[in-house]
Amino acid sequence: MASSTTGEKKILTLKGGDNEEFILEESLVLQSELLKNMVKEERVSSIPLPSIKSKTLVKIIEYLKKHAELTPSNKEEFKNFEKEFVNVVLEELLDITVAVNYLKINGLLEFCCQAVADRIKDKSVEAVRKIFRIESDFTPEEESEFRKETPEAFEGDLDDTTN
Amino acid sequence: MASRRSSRNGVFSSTSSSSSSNLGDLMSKKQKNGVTGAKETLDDYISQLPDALLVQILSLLPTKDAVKSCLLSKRWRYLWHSIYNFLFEDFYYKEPENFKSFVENVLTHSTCSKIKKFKLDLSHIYITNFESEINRWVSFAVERKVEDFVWCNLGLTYQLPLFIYTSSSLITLELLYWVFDKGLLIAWNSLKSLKLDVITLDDDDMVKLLSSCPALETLELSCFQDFRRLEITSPNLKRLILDGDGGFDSLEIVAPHLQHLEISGHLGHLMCRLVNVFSLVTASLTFSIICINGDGGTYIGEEEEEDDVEEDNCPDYHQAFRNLVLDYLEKLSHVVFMLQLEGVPLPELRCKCLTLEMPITKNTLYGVASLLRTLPLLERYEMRAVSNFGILGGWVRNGVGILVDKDLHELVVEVRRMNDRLMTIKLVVGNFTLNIISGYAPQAGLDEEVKRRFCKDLDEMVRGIPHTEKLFIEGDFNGHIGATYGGMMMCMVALVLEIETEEERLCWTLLEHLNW
Repeated sequence: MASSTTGEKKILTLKGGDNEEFILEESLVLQSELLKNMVKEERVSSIPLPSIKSKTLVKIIEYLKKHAELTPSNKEEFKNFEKEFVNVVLEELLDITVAVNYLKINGLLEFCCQAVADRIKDKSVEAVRKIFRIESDFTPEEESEFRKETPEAFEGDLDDTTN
Repeated sequence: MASRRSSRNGVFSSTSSSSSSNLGDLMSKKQKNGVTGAKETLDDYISQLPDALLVQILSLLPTKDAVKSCLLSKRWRYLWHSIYNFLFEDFYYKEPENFKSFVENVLTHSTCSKIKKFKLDLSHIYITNFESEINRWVSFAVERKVEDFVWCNLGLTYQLPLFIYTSSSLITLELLYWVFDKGLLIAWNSLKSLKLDVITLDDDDMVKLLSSCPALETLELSCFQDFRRLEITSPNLKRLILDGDGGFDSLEIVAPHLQHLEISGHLGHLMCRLVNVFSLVTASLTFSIICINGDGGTYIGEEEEEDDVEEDNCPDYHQAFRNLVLDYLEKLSHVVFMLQLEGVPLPELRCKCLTLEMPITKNTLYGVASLLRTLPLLERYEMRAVSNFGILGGWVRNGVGILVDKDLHELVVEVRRMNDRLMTIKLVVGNFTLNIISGYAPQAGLDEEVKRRFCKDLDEMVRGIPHTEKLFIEGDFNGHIGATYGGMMMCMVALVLEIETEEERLCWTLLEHLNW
């Protein structure tokens, strides 16, 4: 399939998980290693991304646009945008992180991972379990045994809250 | 927050079914990456994340937190062994021995073959005969080709092992409290960014250090002393960041290839001369001005009662500052230029983009007025008010208003009141279109949502203004509560007037209105 063009700019369609279509300039998606390879090697004009929810895709496209507009003079504005970008409920943040990982948008991936990490920083094991909704599959005996392996990691006051 | 989460949990079970097919798709693609936690239920937020991603997240935590994750569940048991950043901070530990055994323990279990970042913060503990451990830890990092190394040694108690000085894998290096030894053989051939905090170097040391880092792109120095001349000949070095707090007496900067310059610090210590910085694209100069006259240091604008005293005693000081800035600006002309100044009047400059952050007082008002009249090339001007004063909104609770002198009244072409915190007016003065935004930021006690909303609205307003028009943002952005003095917005209206008319008379007329 030949890629459609309007003037100089190539246009590309991304299809989200719920078949919603997003039309954008090809140059925007080049920030994604995965899409870049698809576009360069296969010369496609439409890429289905069934594993990514449309809601997530909207967010990511918003980021790509902002990032493309980044100049030395609006750095501060971009930083604020980034901060807001990850200021979402954990479930949504993880959806974005997984999608960004899949799309291989490296700078954004590191930023998302840092945002996830920040939510569990300095937290107690119990709090992290609650935040991530992890159920322990250890017996109490195993747990106290493992604690003894690296007791220093559990030293000091830890935050039990889940905010 | 806790209650919000738990109410979300109810919602989650219904959405998870719709997202499960997506997760399934992704999981099958990611299976190769080694998803081992088959036992976890789909309700688990993280089961959709491949191990590699979890390791990346763990690597961004303090290493202590990463290790703790081994207790979460079987899937997490050994994940931390693969982390590639090591952030060891001794302030978590009351007993030095525990810190030592923790680091030893972690490095023993690590399976990492290529380290990205290694941080060793030894500021809070002191152990004697610690050198061999430190050598071993740093060597662990260097052998695994560490790229980013952070060393903090508050007591200057320990030495870095010599082999780190020839590590060619280093890309960024941050040394807090580091002693430069003239005998050191340094060859950081790949180093791109060097940050030195609390450092004593003389001119020769500086030359030697810079020649040891041929690929350096960014140099950041804070709380440094002893060198008088900074000559940067490398065409690679494009960013220089100097923080004068801590003091340098006089410093000459010769850096023909430099593109980005940031200088901040107290004027009392900052006597910097830019000899050659002709490639500069952006510069950010942030000064804190302290009036050294009178009884001790008081910030300009902070003491209303002693205003007269300041006015009488400050001119000399302001003159010194004016000369200093003039010197900078001569060198910085022809440059798109971001200037952040706190305080006083400025000499002529030819910049296109100006950000002023300063308290609005009688003194500074005149400064800004004369400044604006000398900026024919200015394309964008942003005012950030730093002030103890309230604004007119103080008279009417939660209200903003913009008072316009009756002479100006006819020039107003548009008035928009967004809400009780934000409004904007547009005036056409001669060839200029001026936008004045007045805002009253939410006080500290108010809900985050209100604050976020305010920032968003303000942002939208600012964006809505074409670049060709001049912009004033005015108001109290300090989350300030308390006694109110009218004034700030009035000042800005006065400034608008001053562009075209006689500054002083109007200024005073307006100020008198406010008993200011």
